[in-house]
Order: sequence, then structure tokens, then C-alpha cells
Amino acid sequence: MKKFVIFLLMVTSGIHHVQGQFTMVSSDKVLQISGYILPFVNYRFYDATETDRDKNRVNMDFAVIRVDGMSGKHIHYEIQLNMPAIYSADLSDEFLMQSTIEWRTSKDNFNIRAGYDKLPFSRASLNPQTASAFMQRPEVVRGKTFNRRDCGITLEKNFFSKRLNFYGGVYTGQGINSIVGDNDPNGKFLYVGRAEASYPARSRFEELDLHHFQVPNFAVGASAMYSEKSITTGTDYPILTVDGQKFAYEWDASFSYKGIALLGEYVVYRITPKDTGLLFGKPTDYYVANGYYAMANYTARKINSVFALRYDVFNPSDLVQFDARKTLSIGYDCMLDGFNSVIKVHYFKRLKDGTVDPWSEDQIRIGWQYKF
Amino acid sequence: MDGLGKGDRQDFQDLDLEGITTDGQWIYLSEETYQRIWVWDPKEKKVVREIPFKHGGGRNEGVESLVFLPNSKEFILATEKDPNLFFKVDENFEIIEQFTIPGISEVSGMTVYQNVWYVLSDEASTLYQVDLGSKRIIREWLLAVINAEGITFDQQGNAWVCSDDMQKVFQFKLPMP
Repeated sequence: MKKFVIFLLMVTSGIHHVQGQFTMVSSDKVLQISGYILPFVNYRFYDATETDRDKNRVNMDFAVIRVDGMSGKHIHYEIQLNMPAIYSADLSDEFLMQSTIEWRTSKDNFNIRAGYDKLPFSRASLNPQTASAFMQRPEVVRGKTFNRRDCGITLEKNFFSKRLNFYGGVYTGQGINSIVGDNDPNGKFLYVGRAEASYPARSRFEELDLHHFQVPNFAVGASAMYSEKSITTGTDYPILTVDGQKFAYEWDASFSYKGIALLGEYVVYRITPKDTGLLFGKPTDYYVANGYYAMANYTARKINSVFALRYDVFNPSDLVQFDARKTLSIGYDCMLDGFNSVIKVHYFKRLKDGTVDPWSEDQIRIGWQYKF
Repeated sequence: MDGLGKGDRQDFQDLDLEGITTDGQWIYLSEETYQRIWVWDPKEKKVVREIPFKHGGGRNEGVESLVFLPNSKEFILATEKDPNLFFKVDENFEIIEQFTIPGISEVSGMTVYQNVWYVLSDEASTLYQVDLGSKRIIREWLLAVINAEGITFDQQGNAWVCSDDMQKVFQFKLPMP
């Protein structure tokens, strides 16, 4: 352990601090350019009989350029582009990650945001992945169960210096297909609302306590969304959009103090499908997909490290037994320059549901996240 | 703003003011977003100079704080982070020296008390006493405050720290050797 700590100190002491964003100012216009790059190696511990081992790979999931600016104090705009998505065969990989215009009050206590953006649903979804100890979100909220981004309009109102926040929005409900495509044939929208409170200070959608708060800080939140669509989509679970009704809600809580951060979230998707085949002949007109995660992490500033542990469960249908996707994640981050330059290690231990074998292979992912 | 600090709200509306100091005659304000220093005449209640101070860093990581050094009639300006840089400037805000301080990577406030320089870091929840000559930390105090944004001392030597996010002002009696 001592050698390991000395090695870390040697590695981190030789790294120069990263110049963050670049800003241009002209009159009352401000333009900032920033971004991040995250190459990683992924290795799955396949069964000896497995012949398809294509997940063992070196990848570049993120090479993001972010341009954001202000025109006067009230108009804010932002565009985020993820370059590798151009080469992806998976149409759900987003090249455009954000494109928003926002009008904000002088006191920054109310804003209206229009464009393509994250939905105000789920703390884990709203937390930037670049600020996470891990390299992948929990299965229940990682974008396979709802479209994390969509085209729409979001209103945000906050009180008490952002310690109490309310969000509400209306969106096309088609996710990435909303950008230029039409709505689905029924032409109905998706509605989302969220409320969150924190004490004694505002919560900043951070998963880690990198700053070692010297005062305990608590946050709780709850979100809900409703949509009624006529097309079912979803590559892993048929609930991304639902031919029928989809009502989802979640509640979440977080705590941070002296480098320790605890987070948890419980999410429920209540699906009322028109396709009764999804009900497996059971005497019901709906089924529930649900899940949760609990996470604990500690930032050890003296050795520029973050240690993290997460347990997450997702059950795709309450009508099917022993099909829950359970994962124990172990994370380690070596901060070369805070979270501007960090080596991330994420080990996924897939767990059995009852006596049924785990739903996927164990895997390890190691990446270097560099923000500029 | 009058001689003791009250001013018309509309004069400062829509500005991202982060730092304030005085040389006894003028009040100097740092505007973070547009990267400017405003020089305010408290008697005439008007801006007498607007000085661009562009450093190219992040939009919300501009000149976070500035402090007047009475002995040398100079100022120190600090950018917030990424990178956290200190600039010693003359009375015309011409840069004399640019430097960093080992052990400090983020700044939210600064003050000078009894000719000693103090630097406050919001993210580190720490107040540093720094030697201006050697640019080294002399001593430091952890503060039980979230988002500490401003620091000053009263005549009894108590440190007063304000928190943006907690919307409170805290008084500390700092243990000195």
C-alpha cells in the first residue's frame, strides 16, 4: 500500500494543472469553448466457451466539444457535440448532446430553456458523467429505460438561493428522433416535473465531495414523467417509448461531508402497453419496471484519489421472476489534476438474481478523462 | 453607492460582481463574466473607469477577487480556478507579476489585515495566510462553511466570512500561535 501511495504521489506531482475553458469577450457577448475526451479500454471476463468476445475493446465514447455563451446577461446558449457518435452504427448514440437557448432573470431564480437537452428526471441522469466516480450510470437510468435527452421547453424556478428548485417541461417524447424528425402518429407530448430541496446549501448535481464540505449537506429530490405514445422502442427493454401509456417517477437523496458522499435513488416505470403480449397473459393491463441504486464514495485528497462503491438493481418487468439485473460496481479514480484530468477504473461485478446466473459478464473499464 | 457602501441597485444590475477592495479613495470591483475592473467614485456615485482585464480562462472563472496592498500601492488580482492565477498589478492595472501559490488551486476571496495577506478558498473550505514575498502558505484554517465567498477582519482580529449558498455571514476567532 505504501508503495502504491508513493507511486500515486509521483505520478500526480509531475502533472501540470489543466487550463480549463477558453473565453472570448466582446462588448456584452461572451463565448466559451471547452470539452472533454474519454478514451477507455474495456475487458469482459467471458466464459471459456464464449466465442463472441467483441466487447473486449479500446473505445472512444466521448470526444465532446462544448460551446456556450451569453448575449447580454439574460440570454444563454449552449451546444455540445460528441464527435465519435458520427461513426456509431447505433442510432441512439447522440452526436448532438445539447443545443439550448435560455432566458434567465438577473437574479438567476427563474429561467426558460428551449431546445435539445437533458430531461429533469433522475438525479443520476442529471449528474454529469464527467463528475462521476464511475464510467457508466446505473442500469435503471442509463438511457435504456427513458430518453435522457429530448427536444422541448423546460421552466425552472428556484427559491432560497437555489436550495429549493422546481422544474417542469414539455417535450416531443421521441428522444434523439425529436431533433429533426416528426412526432409519432398520435402527436402527443411527454411531460416531466421535478422538485428538489437541499440544506444548508444548494446542491450542485455533484456525485462526489471533492471539496470536503466541512458542514454536512443534504439533498432530496423527486421527479415524475408521463407520456402516451403509439410506437414502442428500446433496444434492451421495450420501454424507451411505449405504444400505450408510460408513467415514471423516482425519488433520490444525497449527503456529503468531509469527502464522503452517499447517494441513492429509486425509480419506477409503470407501463400500460397496447401490446398485451408484454403482459404474459397475466390478469392485468399494466406492468412495472423498477430499480434503485445506492452509492458511497470517498475523496482522499492527500493521495488524489476517489474510492467508490455502488450497488444497482433493475427489474425490467414485475411479471417476470428472476430477471433482475444486479451489479456491484467498484470504482477508483486517480486524479492527475482534480477531475480535469483523471484516470478512472470501473469494475462491474454482475450478481445472480436468486439462483439464476448473472445477466451479463463481469467487466473492467479503465479510461482517462481529460477536460479542456 | 454612498461613502459607506449603499448604492442604487440598477447601477449594478446584470453584472457578475465578484470582488471588491478600496484604496481609500476609489472602490474597485471585479466583474467576472466580462472580465473587467470597475472603478467607482463613492462620492460622485458613478463609475469613473472601466478597465478590461482579460485572461482567457473560463467564463465563470474570471477575476474572482482583488485586494489593495496599502504599503506598495499595488493590487493583487486572482482568477478563480482552471487555472488559478495571481496577478500583481500597479495602480493602472498593468501587470507587474503573474504567479501561482503552491497548495492553492482555487480562490474565492482575499483581504489584507495588518499588512498580512489572506486568501480564501471556497472549494477547499480553507483560509490561507500567505507570505507575499515567498508566495508560500504560512498557515491555514479549515472553515465550517459551504461556499465561502468573501473575507474581511474586524478591529478585534475576528475573521468574517460570508457564504453565498448558505446566505449567511460567519465570524471566526482564528487560533494564532
